[in-house]
Amino acid sequence: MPPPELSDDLVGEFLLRLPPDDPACLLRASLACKRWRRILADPAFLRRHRELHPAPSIVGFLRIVKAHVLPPLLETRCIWTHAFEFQLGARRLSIVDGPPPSLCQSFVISFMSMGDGELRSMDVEDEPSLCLRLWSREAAPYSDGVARWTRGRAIELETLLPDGALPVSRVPLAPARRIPSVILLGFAEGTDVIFVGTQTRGHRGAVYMVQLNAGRARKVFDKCTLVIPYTSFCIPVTDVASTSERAREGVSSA
Amino acid sequence: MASAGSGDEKAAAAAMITLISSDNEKFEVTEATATLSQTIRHMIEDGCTDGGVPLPNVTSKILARVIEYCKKHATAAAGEEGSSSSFSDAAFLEVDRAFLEELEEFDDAFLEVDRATLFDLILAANYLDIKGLLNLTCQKVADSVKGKTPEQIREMYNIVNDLTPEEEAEIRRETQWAFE
Repeated sequence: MPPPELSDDLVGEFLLRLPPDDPACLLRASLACKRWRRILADPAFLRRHRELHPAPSIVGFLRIVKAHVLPPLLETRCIWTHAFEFQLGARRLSIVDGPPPSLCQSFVISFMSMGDGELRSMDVEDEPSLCLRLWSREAAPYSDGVARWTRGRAIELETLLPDGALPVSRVPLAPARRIPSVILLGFAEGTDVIFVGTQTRGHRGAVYMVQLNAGRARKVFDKCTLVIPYTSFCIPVTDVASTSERAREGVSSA
Repeated sequence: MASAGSGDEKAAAAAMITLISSDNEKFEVTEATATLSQTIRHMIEDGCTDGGVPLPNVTSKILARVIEYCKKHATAAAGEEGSSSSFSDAAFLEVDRAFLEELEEFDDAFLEVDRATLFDLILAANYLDIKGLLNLTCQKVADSVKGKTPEQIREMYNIVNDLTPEEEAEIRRETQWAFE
């Protein structure tokens, strides 16, 4: 017996409950038919989705393709060792030092604010194997009231990334040469998702989206380019589902 | 209602409501069970439940399931109220936890139905305005869609693909990473 017909509201009701940490689910569901696509693209749906899942999830990213924004390979030691912290209450902008350089193997550091006063940072290590090292700095966890960086867990890149993602060399490379083959590209505020690029001479490289908590990585692009993640999603529906005829006649849907 | 505010549990339990399904079957339920439905709660408040509550959108088969759900969850709600005064008592917390686990098991078993029944339950939960049941059933559908390809979703829910091959190809190309 075929299931009874549900109204748009009720279809929206279950689509709202797709796991927010896996936006691919929403994108695949949006391909089921024009109706589902229209429901998912409705601003009311997006509003309710944000209400139901207040923690943002990565739903996509912009990729910078044409400009050669990445510095040449072995010079990616961009020194991001400071972050700026803006204290809303005090209306004060202060400079936060990164994890002590003596403890970091690389200077390829990315900062992210966890929204609860905690700042996280990350760098790439190669001891004993290539891994991402997490650091966290809580506002004032110590009795003296001074915030300090704590070295957190490491995520093995060889396990995290699929086989062949990291460049292999017949001659073992020194850490200083291996670390720059992994580039921290970006993160999205309030989420546990970071973007990691791989790149080395003679190797095409790729961009991976990494869910830190789940320890999962998914290749999102071949070729390492800068990405800017965004956390609000948009199913571009008007040109496909409702005005496809006009669009085919060459009328701009904008 | 006669029992309101009296604190007499027997009187409260005795307040019965008759629900009448679309195929004219009558179901006697306690007020506590019936008022899990906001729709019925409003009718009781307005004093228009004498002679039974006709539910022309709900068949007896589905109404029986909905009542089964409401009975279980009404007991759960009553249990929560009863134990709130002894919140700090570890023994009570233990009992609460066991009860919550039992409730979860009940919900899981309750959802073991075919898709048509699941959709009927969604329609009934929406019509009767039973938030917990709507949430439960919608989550079940969402879980079944999770991880499926568009083709699998269409097949599961008898959806006719009305996107042209060109449109579909274009969308897939734009969001290729979601389909790998």
